[in-house]
Amino acid sequence: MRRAALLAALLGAVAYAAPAASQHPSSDDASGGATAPAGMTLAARISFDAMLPPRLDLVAGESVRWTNESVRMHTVTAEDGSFDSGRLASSEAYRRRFGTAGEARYFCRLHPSMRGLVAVHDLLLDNPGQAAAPNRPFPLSGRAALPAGTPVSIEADSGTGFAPIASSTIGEDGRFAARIVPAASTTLRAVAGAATSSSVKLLVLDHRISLTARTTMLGRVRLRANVTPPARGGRVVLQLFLPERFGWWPVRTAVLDKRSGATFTLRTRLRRARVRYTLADGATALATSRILRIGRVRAPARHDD
Amino acid sequence: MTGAAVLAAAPAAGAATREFWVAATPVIWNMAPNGGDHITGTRLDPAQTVMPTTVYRRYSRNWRRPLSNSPMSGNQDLIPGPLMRARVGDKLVIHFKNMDFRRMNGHSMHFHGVEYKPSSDGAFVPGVSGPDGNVLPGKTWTYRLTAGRQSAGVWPYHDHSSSMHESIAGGMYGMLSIRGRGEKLPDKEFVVVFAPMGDFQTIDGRAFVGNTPVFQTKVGDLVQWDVMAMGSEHHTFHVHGHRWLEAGGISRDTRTVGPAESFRFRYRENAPGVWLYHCHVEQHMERGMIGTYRASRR
Repeated sequence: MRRAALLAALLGAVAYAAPAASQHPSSDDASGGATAPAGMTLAARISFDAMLPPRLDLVAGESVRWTNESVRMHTVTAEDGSFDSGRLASSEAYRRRFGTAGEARYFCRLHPSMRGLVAVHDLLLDNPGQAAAPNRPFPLSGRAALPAGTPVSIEADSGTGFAPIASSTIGEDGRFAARIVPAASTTLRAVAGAATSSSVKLLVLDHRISLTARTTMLGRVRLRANVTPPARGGRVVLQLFLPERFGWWPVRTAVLDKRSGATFTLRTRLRRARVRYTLADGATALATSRILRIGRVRAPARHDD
Repeated sequence: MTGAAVLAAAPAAGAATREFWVAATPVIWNMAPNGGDHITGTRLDPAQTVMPTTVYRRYSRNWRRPLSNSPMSGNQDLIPGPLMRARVGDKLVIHFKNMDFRRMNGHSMHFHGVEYKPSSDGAFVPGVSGPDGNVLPGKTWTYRLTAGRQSAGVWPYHDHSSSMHESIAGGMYGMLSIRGRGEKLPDKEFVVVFAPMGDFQTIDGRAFVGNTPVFQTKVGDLVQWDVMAMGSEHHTFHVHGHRWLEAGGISRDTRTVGPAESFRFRYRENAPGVWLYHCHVEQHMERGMIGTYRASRR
């Protein structure tokens, strides 16, 4: 379960960093409610003219570490005056722990148009980083400032109100994970004890992959895969059927370009090939192409459905 | 120069300095890319077999371009780390960079079996060790090793930093392979690392036949197996259809390795076929510590 939570967190949009390994000068401000356990630290960036990301969601007890990645000085200053980093020179960092649920708006005193928001929750369902495929497993993850062992219910609302669809338990590290099998796009939330998370939208799309192959003059095979509806930035995996592997074996991975396509060029013996559009784990399939027979020397690839 | 001095200098005359560029790199690792256990027909869920981890990866000079970790072994993957080959008398200069920007952990490289100064020990002891013992993300360190007269053989290296237990469980280990003087290179060199990972028992970070390395030889090849264990358990290496000779002329086809122990053996391939190799601790076999080995006729 812990590994599933780790992976799901990785697939989500949250960047995190262990607090121990600071390489820049850092000032720590450990004020705030002291009841929540020491949690992880989320990394935030201060660019030349913006706080990135402008909104951070965390659970009570977690910290944010802002690093000034620009050439000019900035500050991280709460609108209500509850915290202030002081002036941060280039590459300096400021870390603050947020102990209780609520919202903290902050800005840069030197450049007041630079603003950001830290939203602190008791229960947080991570935003799905990607659309799911209908009736295929999809991992969800989240974090909570609640005791380990607390049951969590995952609820979905597809237009008729929220109803439970999966359950999980909060682990020792404050994380939880669940797998759902959505049929259509839905709104999700987590409920644990008296706490209810903000809701997140999960898009469910019936993706298809077209796959074509041609042999180059140098005897290589060039495969082009296109995913529809467009899924730019999604992951596709080229698999060959390898007898010594007793099955389909991933040989290349690519990220879909702005046209929602990817090109693979390889030299191979005669093999069956297919491309899968997957979650960021490179293994959970959302769609699978037809199978092509590739690698025949000095002849165009025969398309073999 | 006197004859005695020439003789004294002789062992270093053919010595080389071998440079390696290695980085700790975050990856998403799949212990079972073919999605199952071929022997039992069990399908495995990616939620069980895929995990984010950090591995040692070999690079070209100045970490410009990632390279294959073990091109000679038939195993092109990222666990174990680069197979570093040298000869007795050689210097090894290993440039290490920590690119673990996902977990932001410190990492290091600690080498068994070779000679070095404390600044190349790569072990983290607060208040004692230097930057070699805990290379922070974005930082580099160069480890300087000598393959001494007692260094012939295969030896583990592994992370010994502040994150060592998590990092070793995630696959941050590899092998040094040091030839004795006068020993020729084998035609094939297979690296087998027994280690637990997640819910499975793995060989080179992979579990079950089809996922574990598929080693390939031809009849007549001089084959060398490099075997080691990491973790907290003992393993019993066994290869089917082959035997090797140990000191005293004892013939073996099975040998036990404990944590961070290692051994190598050689034979001339003479048995074409598809063979199994595995850990003979049956609970480990059942959880994935088994693979195939294919010897073809010329």
